[in-house]
Amino acid sequence: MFIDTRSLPDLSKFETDVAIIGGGPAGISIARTFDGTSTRVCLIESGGLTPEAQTQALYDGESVGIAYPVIAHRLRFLGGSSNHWGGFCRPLDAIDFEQREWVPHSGWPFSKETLLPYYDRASEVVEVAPPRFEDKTYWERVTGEPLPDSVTGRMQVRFVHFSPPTHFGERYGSELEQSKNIEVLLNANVVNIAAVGEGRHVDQLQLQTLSGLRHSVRARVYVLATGGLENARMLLLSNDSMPHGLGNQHDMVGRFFMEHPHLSGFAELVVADILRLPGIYRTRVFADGRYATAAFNPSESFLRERRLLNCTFMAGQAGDYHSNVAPNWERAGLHRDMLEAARHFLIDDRRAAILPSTLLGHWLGLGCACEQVPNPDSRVTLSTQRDALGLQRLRLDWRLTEQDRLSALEHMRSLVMEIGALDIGRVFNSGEYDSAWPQVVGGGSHHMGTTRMHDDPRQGVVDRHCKVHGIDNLFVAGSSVFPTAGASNPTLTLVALALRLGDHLKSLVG
Amino acid sequence: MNGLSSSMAGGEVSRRRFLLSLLGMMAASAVRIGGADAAPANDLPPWLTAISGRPEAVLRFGAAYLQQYPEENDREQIIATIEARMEDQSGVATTESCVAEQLLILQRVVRGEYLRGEFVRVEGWSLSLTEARIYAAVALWTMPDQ
Repeated sequence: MFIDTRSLPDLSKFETDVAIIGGGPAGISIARTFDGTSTRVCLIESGGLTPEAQTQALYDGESVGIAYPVIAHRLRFLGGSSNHWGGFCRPLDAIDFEQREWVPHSGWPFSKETLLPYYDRASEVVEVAPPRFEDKTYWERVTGEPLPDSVTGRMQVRFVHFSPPTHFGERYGSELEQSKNIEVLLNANVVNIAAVGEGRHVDQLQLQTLSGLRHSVRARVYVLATGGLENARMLLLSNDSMPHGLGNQHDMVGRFFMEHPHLSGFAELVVADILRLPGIYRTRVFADGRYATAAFNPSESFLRERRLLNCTFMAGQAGDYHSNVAPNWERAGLHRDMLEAARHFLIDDRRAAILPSTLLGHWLGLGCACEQVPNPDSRVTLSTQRDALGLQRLRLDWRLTEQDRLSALEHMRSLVMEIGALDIGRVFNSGEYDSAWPQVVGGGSHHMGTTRMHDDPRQGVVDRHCKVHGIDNLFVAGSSVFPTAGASNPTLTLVALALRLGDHLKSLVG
Repeated sequence: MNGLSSSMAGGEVSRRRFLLSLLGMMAASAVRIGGADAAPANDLPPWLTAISGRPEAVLRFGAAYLQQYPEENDREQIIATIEARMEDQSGVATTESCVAEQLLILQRVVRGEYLRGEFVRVEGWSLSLTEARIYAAVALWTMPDQ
């Protein structure tokens, strides 16, 4: 059932078993695990069914570190940020879960094995099942193209599936609306998570509409699922019983903010004979009802040997060059000159003879998403500015380290080695990252780490079951619980974690 | 058949003619290259003529390499360095192999250098050392002293 809280009488009260704050991928995934059960669920969404500027403005905030437009990276209506999701799906690698001695603060409380069954279920939720994330033989069979093995031992091929993408509000909205045991409160902003017993038990949620109505929700358990930035903000704002915010007794809430630095313009590739780079590396291939592409990833052995962070490279075909068409921008001239200078290394006579005589080759953009080391100084705090509800806005201080930069450069080196040694093409690298992080670094709208998971309350905000340390009935869902970020887009993993949390909550309240 | 074995057919004549024509064109080079006037193009090692792509493109990267590494600004030395790598790769003296074989050897040399991470960045491109030196050698053999 959908309830627009703006149409309710002021001071309406709701009683439920499970209250979920946030109607994005994590919140909706948890709510759905209860559909058709006897457990009453209340899913509380700040926005409505479509975007509204006044609600979206609640996401505005300050960025004081690496420039980061905090409002643009998130969406505040049913479905949350899945409404602008690109659909990239890949699980974290096994090594991402490990405590790596060269990565400070690394290590999840469990291994990838624990998440495997939930990755399978999550793949169905985001509509990429059955997943084939590592099955090179399968993709060779369906594409009919052999995929080269790494010649350096530094890299391996992995596969990224593309969700349609699943916009959770559109895809699962009617299911939620028709559910007999799930109520969806729309246009309902949680302004306080009210705790009692010196902050050890959540008593109720206080809600407010932008029109000024105040409501409340009482539940047996509460799940905070408002996204990787807002989860931390909500805990920090809820400070009536804990002056530094709920779950923040060890000053951990908001710390360890991580993104995947996307090194835009980092590198480009020119290829004279396109067949030397199998199609799945440069375009999306359709098979078994969904699209996929291949990614270059560092091998686990190389990461261990060189003590590096994880990384993902993907290529996309950008254009062709012909000898009878003049380059229309400076970089095009550079691409063409490289293709012509290195032609004897990049194409053989037999292929050259059957291709158009004017065709010089192709250029591809190389995207790079890197893992950053968990850094306590990269953090979310509260600003002195306030939003339309009178709440302090968030203040983001995103920071990157030299370890992050040097690791990315070493992976770039690996890619050059592979592509050169396989005679695929030549790699251009602007050198922008050679000596320091540039002023502007892009991210992937991946907000991770601010309520990190750790069994030790002094090192994490939530435990292995995503329960906030020290509070007996408050849980956190979403990528804010990731202790490390890996180099995979986070949606699949956060949905897997949400499904796991849903199962855990069932065992508690079912 | 590999592209490097396209070798010395009609393409060589026109390429050599083109290189000769460049002697006159490149007088305004930004870098001082070579210790003497440009060498006659017919002294070019055959493998160098055969492997070079479009001369203006090759010269762009060759000149840039020599600006970065002016200590390699010696045409005999740079050819000797390349041929030493070829001989290390093949175990055969360059003078004892035909051009087609030399080109295949060069391709293996370049691959091996990428594999070992022996590359330099020239105008933003990551080029194997030998590949960059090939371009530099063309520049040295075609660009006149100023």
